[in-house]
Parts: sequence; structure tokens; C-alpha cells
Amino acid sequence: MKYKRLIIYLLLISLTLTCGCSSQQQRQSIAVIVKATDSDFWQSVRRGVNAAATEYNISVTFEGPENEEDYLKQNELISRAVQNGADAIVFSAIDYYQSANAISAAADAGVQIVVIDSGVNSDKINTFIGTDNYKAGQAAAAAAVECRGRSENMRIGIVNYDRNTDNGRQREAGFRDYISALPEAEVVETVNVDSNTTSATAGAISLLHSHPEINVLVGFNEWMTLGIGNAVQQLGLKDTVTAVGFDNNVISVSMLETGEMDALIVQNPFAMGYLGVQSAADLLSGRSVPDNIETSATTITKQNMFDEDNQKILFKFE
Amino acid sequence: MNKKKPRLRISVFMVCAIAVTVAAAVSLCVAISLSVYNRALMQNSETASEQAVQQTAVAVGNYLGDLKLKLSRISTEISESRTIDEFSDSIAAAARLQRDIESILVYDKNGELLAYGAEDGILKEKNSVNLSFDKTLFEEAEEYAVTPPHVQTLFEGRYPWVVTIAHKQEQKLFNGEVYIAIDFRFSSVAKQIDNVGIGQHGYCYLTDTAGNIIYHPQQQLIFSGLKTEDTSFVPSSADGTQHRDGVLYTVNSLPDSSWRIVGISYIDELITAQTEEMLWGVALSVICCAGVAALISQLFSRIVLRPVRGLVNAMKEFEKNAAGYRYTAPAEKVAELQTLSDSFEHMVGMIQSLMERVRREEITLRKTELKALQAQINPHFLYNTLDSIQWMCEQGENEDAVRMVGALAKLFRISISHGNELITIRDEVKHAQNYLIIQSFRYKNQFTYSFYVDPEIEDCLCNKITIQPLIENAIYHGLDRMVDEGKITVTVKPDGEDILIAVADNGVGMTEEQCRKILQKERSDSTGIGVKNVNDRLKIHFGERYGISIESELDVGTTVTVRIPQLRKEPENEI
Repeated sequence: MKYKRLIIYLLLISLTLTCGCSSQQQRQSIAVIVKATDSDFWQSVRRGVNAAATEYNISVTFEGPENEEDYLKQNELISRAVQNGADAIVFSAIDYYQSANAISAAADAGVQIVVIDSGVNSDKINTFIGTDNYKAGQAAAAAAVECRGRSENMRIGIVNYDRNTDNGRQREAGFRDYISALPEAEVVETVNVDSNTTSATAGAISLLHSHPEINVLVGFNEWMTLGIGNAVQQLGLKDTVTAVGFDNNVISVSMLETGEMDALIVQNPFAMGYLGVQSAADLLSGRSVPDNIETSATTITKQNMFDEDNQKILFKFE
Repeated sequence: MNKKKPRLRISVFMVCAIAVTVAAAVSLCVAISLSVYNRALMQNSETASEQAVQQTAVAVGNYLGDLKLKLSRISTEISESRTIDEFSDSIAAAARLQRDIESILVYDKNGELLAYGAEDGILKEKNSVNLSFDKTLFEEAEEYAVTPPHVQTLFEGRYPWVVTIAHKQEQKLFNGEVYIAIDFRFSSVAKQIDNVGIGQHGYCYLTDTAGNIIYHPQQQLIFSGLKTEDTSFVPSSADGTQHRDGVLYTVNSLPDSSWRIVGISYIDELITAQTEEMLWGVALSVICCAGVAALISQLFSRIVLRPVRGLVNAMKEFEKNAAGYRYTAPAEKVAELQTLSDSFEHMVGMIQSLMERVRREEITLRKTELKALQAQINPHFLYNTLDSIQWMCEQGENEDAVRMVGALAKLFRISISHGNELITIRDEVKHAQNYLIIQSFRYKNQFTYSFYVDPEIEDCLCNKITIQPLIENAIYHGLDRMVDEGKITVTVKPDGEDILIAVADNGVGMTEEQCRKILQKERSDSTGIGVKNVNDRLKIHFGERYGISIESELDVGTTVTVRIPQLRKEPENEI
């Protein structure tokens, strides 16, 4: 009788093993959930995602809310991805706090979580891939100083987006820390606006109106950069105001050539997308990945914008 | 006995043997099929990689060929145009209609733009940089110059990635040598390359003949240092596939171009995954086999081993208690075992009847032997005694003759004792005394004798004619040759559960060798009962621990001691 029970156990074990083996055969799917899908930045991320998906033979979805404030939509996308059986989620958080529960719930459902670009307040994350935002903020400050040629009498206006977005906070912190170490420079005011060009332009213009002494303007993402560029252009201040921005929107690049913008901190969204999917693929096949992968951020000025390597970073393939 | 030494049991052995055999067989099969499979996989991968790269090469090559064709058509168009404006209009139309043509440009020898046609866009007034014009490359090209991909910087707010194909021409319209160039959108080529996935994990990229990367799907990673791509093998590699460290490298040159497509495919991951899966399969089948083996051994044990074990136990029982064992063959499922059981049953019966027969035969033999021994006492002694009596009568010693005859008569009466083997010690002592009476007449008072018998044990039994041969031995070997008066002492006393009968003399004594010989040898004169016969009889009757022991010292004397058990008179003592 003892033997019979043993045999039944053995059969059960073999059955489970067979199931385990066969389930490995399916093509894995990864859901990429980002802040928006329309900007140049996220299109580059998408290209990176597709490159990795092609290389690793994985099916991916690429989704994001229509505006970069809609964390509720992001949370909905997360739970839908879990329902649809995604094996991994590559995520970039609009709100550092509001998406934490959704991400933790997804991780508890057995989904691997890779965070790119902007962090989320959850300890269930397998790896973070993105720019070192604090360092990028410092690089922006350094670029501003270099473009002015000196640090004296720097009166700085900051145009930033949602206070709860992690990467914006980190960049501003890096920037402020760098500036506070300089004797003759000060940050006059920070305005926080919605993350779109219209709000950013309006915010920058009103900032320049209320503080005419401002001679350095900084924007911490693609839309903020367009905003300050537009403000400088509309007010005709391109020779007096040093404008430092982020990312490589084609209009910002054009403004860099024509002089409204003075420096761009160009991140590597392609790398975020590519490495995000690659890390997720590695996690799914049981390989270990580092906790943190730093993607590069390059300072581009008018002088070096057409260097052969910088071309590849600054200008996108359509 | 089983518990002391754990031995290998057949059922366990069976399970192990089956599992090991099957595991070995499966492993072997898997190893063979895996190697065959891997080879096939490798070939498939190579073919797939070559096909993918070749298709890409053909597509990109066709693309470039197409461009050259267009360039030559435009040249024709120029020669047909009468004015520069007319020409500008026609190339602008061409650029607008062909989506992948970014712009068509005519430069003079120094790179000054003479005419252009573009889809839209405003030409920049001051061109800080024009990446589309490469004077050295254009001049050195034999027919068509093809630039690496670069950003076009001619129009405001537009930075498309293009490849410039240029061709030097003599043109009347522009009064001399001009370069006609087409800036081609590179994204269409890039898409071709981006969309190539080779196998489970792979991609391809574009290099020049020197191995410099022209386009790589992950170039943003490579140029920011997040990834490295080793292209050092490209210049030395012919078109085809090579396999290094689990990676397939496929190189294919584009026709009529200095570009090469390189395909990378990570087959080791695929092979590792397949191998892993196979190993799981092996593990699975081994477990299944172990299960089946357990099942088989269970059946085997029920049908074969349990009866065998029963038989083994039966044999052990039989060993322990051969006489009293009863065995009945149970009904078995296996014919051989049935035969075995039946045979064992038969054998047990046979052995037991044989044992019984041997026992009976031995008893008969002993009885016969005893009778024979008892018979030996008579003749010689009788003749001598009768001679003595005759002599006494002749001499007129009637009184002595009467005593002698009386003693002789008693002697024989006790010897016979109704055919009983066992007689009381009292009778045995009387027998010895009568013998001594006769002998003391014959030896003319050469010795004296005395008896010390414990009255407690006078009713105990002993073999008849036990003491007499010992006295005879004492007289012949101890006293006969003595000058002084001999003395014989017979002592009968209890010793625990036993009785000791000692016959001591003060004769010449014996050496140790003589003592031993007396117990080993039959008497040479073959009359009467020797010491050896007494000893043998005692041992047969009572067992090995009983019998005769002799202590002797030369010129001091000999004591022969008989040890027998205390037996009270019982009616059944028939032996």
C-alpha cells in the first residue's frame, strides 16, 4: 500500500514537470508602460524597445496615457497588462507614490518589474534603468556655467514639471546642489507647470516677466525645454539669456543651432527602451541583472552638435 | 539472523538495476540525439542566419542600385533641361513624388549649391555645416560616391538622416563639371536592418570593408558606451558564416558597394535551452522508470519473493528443529516455486524418516555391542577359577573350595541379573567383592582389599560389570609383579549430582603413556572386559562427560575413577 502511494506521488511529480517544461516554450510577452507615447523622447524609447524585442524574439506592447499627468491611466494599464498575462512590465512612473501599489500588486502576481527613466516608490522592483538624474541635473548646471563662460552674477529661473515626478525632483536637486556651491549664482525662482509645451511656455514667459534679472533659464524635460526656448524666442532674449534644457526634440535641436537654446542634456532614451526589454528578457530566462543600470546623458552644445558620434545621439531615425 | 546483517534484498536490487539501466540507456539516447539535434540546429541556424543576412543584403543592395539608376535618370533630365529653373522644377517634383528622396542637389566643384529640389523646407541662409558634401570622397569616386549615413543640415528645422549618392558630370547647363547628389532618407534602409531578427536571439548591422560600423540597430548604445560590438573580424572574413564561442557571425557583401551586412546570432542560448529541456526529459524519464521499477518489483515481490522468503524461513525453522518440524507446501502462483515447495515438503519427510531409521539402528547396534561385551567376561576367567577349585578339591581344602564355588556362583548371578544392563550399586559392589574373593584365593593372599561405600547411594543404578574390570586391571598390572603385599581400595561416594567410584592400588603404577593406552586399546588377550570397554559403555550410556579417568604414579600406585550420574531405580530403564 505504501508503494502504491509512492507511485502516485511519482506520477504527479512527473506530470508537474512535464507541464513546467512545456510552459517554457511559449513566446514571452512584455508590456512597456510609459508616461506618454507622442513625444520624441518616448518614440526613441519605443525604438529601443522594438530593437530589443526583435533581437530577443519577444512580443511587446508599448502603451502610455495621453497626457503626462494621468497616473490613474498608468495604473489601469498596469493591471490590464497583468490580466493579459504579461510576463514582465517595463514601467516609467508619472507619480513616484501613486503607482506604488499597482506595481507591488503586479509584482505579487509574479510579473517581473523593470523601471526605466523615472522611479516608483516600491521595493518590488527588479532593476532600474535610466539616467542618473541627479548627475544630469549637475551636468545641466555645469553646462550653464560653461555657456556663460563664468559663474558670476548668475540669476537662474527653473521651469519644472510635476513635483511628485521622481526624475524631475532629482534633476532639480542635482542642479541646485551644484549652483549652491558657486558663490555668485543663485536660483531666483522655480515654477512648476503641467508637462506640456503650452504650459511650459506660459510659465517661462511669466517667470521672465516677473523676474527680469533672470539670465539663465533651465527646463528639466523635453516640454520644459521647448517652453523656455519658445519664451526666449518670443521675448527676443536669445543673446542675453542662457537656456539649458533636456532631451533632443527636433525643435529644441533647431533652437540650439539658431541660438535660442545654449545647451541640451541629451539622455539616451533608446538605451532605456532597449536595456529595459533586455533586462526583462534576462529576468524571464532566469539570469540575474544589476539593480541599477545607468544610461548615459551627454551635454550637447552648438559647437559639438554635428560631431559624428553626437549626430547619432542627437538626431533620430524617423 | 536477518536483523544482524542487513543484506541486499532482491526487490531493492531490482529497482536500482532497472532504474540505472534505463537511465543509462536514456542518457545514451539523449546524448546521441542531442548531438545530432545540435548539429541540425546549428545547420538550421546557419542557414537561417545566411538567409536573413542575404535577404537584407539584397534588399539594401537593390535599394542602392535603385538610387544609382535614379541618379543617372536625373542626369539625363538635366541634359534635356534648357534652363536652371526648369530643371529645378523637375527635380523638386521628383523629390516630392519619391518619399525616400529627401532632396536632389547640384553642387559645383567647391560644394556651392547650384540647384536643389526638396520635398519642402526652407533652405538655411547661412550654412554653418553641410554634412552632405564630402569633397574628397566625391572627387576620388570612380563613378558613384556613397557617403556613410549622416544628418542633413540644409533646411531649417529638419535634421533627417540621409545617405548621399553623388556622381560627377560635365553639364552644359551649369557650364562645366558639377556634382549631382541625391540625399536619401536612411531610415528606410535602417528599418530593413532593424527588422531583421535572426533566430531566437540575433540581429544584423552594416559596416564598411574596414569594419567601421555604418549603421547598427543599437548604435545609440554603442556610441554612448553601453554596448560594444567587436567588428575586427569583418575585414578579414570572406562572405559566409563562422561559428565562434556559441555565436554565429554571418558576413555578406552588398553588390557594387563597399558595404557589408554582418549578422549576429546567439545560438548557444538556444542550444543551452534545448539541452536543458532534454536533461529535464531525462530526469523525468528516469523518475518514471524508477516508478515503474518500483511497481514491477512490488509485483515481483508479491508473486515470487514472498513465497521464496517463506521457503527460506521454513528452511531456517527446519534447521533449528529438524525432528519436530512439519511443513505443508502452500499453493503458489509460479510453477517453479510450486515445485520447489513440493520438493521441500518431500525432502523434509524423507530426512525425518531417515533420521528416525538411523536412530533406531544405532540403538540396536549398541544393544548388540553390549551383549557381546558382556559375553566376553566368561571363558578364560572361568577356566582358571575352575582349575583352582579342582586343585583345592584335590588338596582337600574343601572349605575353601566351597567358598570359591559360592563366590563364582554369585558372580555369575549378578553378571546376568535377568539381562538388565543397569543394576544397583549394592549388587555391583557385591559382584566386585565376589571377584576379589576368587582372585585372593588364586593369588594366595598377595594383597588385601577394602570397600568404602556410602550407604546413601547403594540403591543408585550403575552399569553392571563396571568395577570388576578395574580391579582386574589393578591386579594384573599393578599388584602381580609386586614383591610387597598389595592393597586395593574401592570407594563409592556421591559427588554433587554424580557418583564417583574409585579403585585405588599401591602397585607399580603406570606411565602417562600406559594410562592413555589402557583407555584406547582393546585388551590384547581378548578375554573379559577391558578398561576401554567399560569407558566406552559408560560414555554410550550416559554421555561424553561421564567415564573413566586414571591417575597414576610409578612405584606409588594407580587410582582409576569412574564418574556416573546418580540414577535411582525406575521401572522404565530398559536400556
